[in-house]
Amino acid sequence: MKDWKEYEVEPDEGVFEKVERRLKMRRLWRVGGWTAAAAVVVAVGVLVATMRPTVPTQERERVAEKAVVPTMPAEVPVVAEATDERPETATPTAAVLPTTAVRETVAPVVAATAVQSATSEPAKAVAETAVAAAPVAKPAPAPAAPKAEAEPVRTAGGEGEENAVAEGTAEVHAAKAGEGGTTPTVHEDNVVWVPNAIAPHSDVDDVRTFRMVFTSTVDNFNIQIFNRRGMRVYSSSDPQFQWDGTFDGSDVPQGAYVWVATFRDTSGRLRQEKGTVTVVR
Amino acid sequence: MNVYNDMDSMGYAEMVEGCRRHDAAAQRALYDATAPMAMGVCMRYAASREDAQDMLQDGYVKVFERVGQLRDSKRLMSWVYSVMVNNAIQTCRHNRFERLASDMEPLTKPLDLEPYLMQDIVAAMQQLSPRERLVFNLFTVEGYSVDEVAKRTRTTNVAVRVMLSRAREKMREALS
Repeated sequence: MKDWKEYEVEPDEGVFEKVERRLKMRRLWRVGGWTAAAAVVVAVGVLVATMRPTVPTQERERVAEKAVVPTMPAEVPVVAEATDERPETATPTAAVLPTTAVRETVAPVVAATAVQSATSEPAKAVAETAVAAAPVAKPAPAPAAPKAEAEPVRTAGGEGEENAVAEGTAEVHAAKAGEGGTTPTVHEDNVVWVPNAIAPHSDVDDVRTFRMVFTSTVDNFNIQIFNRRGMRVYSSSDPQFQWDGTFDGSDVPQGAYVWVATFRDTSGRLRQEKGTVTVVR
Repeated sequence: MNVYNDMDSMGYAEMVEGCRRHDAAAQRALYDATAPMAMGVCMRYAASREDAQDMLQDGYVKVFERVGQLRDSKRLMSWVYSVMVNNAIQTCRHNRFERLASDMEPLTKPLDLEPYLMQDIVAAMQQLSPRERLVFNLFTVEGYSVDEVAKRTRTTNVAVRVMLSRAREKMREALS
């Protein structure tokens, strides 16, 4: 039997250098993304604070009364809210690449409340990546289009699961900031649905695991999930993955986790999506 | 000179540890130790040497980004090999499907590759279509079953059998 590991061919010179360059670019992209987003958080936060001081309070009240205990299946009210604020829901799954920037509308408010949230730097930064990608005053057309296409996603998903999580005021703020409820995001070629919170020990099946739903097949899929200190707790290259909130066999602590997914969509473009998912015990 | 030149597991351990810390010297050492084998893999799956080098590049970006997943440094070679194969599958999986002639084509006689030199085999492989080459490699060289090949390339068993049969015929032709 031939041992094909012994079949060796010398590559040309320079391949390694190209690899190094690409690795460096990718690292810069990641780091640059965070710092750029963080800078925008501050900028937009200041802007909003001076422009719309009352909105956050109103929203806060609305969310507070609609905050749902994780295991509660009756999340219809949150659904309604989510649809109203559909553009914000795009926030957690914002694309790093500026080309797919169609998601903002109430993003400024998101920024304001997110600044106050207790989530970690990366999580905040992620939430504002969408803001970074779009101007502050994005008009209403955004909600209309995504909304129409979001419906089939929910039914396609089969369950319309909403994972509104309310634990403490910090999370309530975060929930208000577009992270309460479903977060369907409309992209040109794939519609992605991800929960923004999971409750691994819930009685309700649908909220137990973190997964992504696509409307068409994707390639080169890779997802990684990190805790606030940047330690990776999960990774997979299977688009049908499901993360049950464990690391090395044991439950991870309650809190916010950041996920980063890369894949090639049906138009062949390489995409990177990020978001946060809150693990509730 | 290259500190990591000896190929025993101690050298591998240092290499891997260094790569986890993004140390450039360790990365260079790992590349030097594994590149010829990795290039061999890519040559089998790619249509030409240029495509093979592109695939090699993509593969090594993945190797260095995922080196943290390698638990046992003694398995460095096997691990790099599998990263390269998986990268090849993901790259080649994109290729469009040729139209299938019939639904139930029986599998042709297996092709015994033993009598031939590896470089001749690879040269013959480059005459196959991308899909045929992918399937032929996965089945004949990596040893996956038809079911596994279908799963990894995201197609049906029928399609795999058809590709395999066509590949075998072309290989037989090219090698004789």
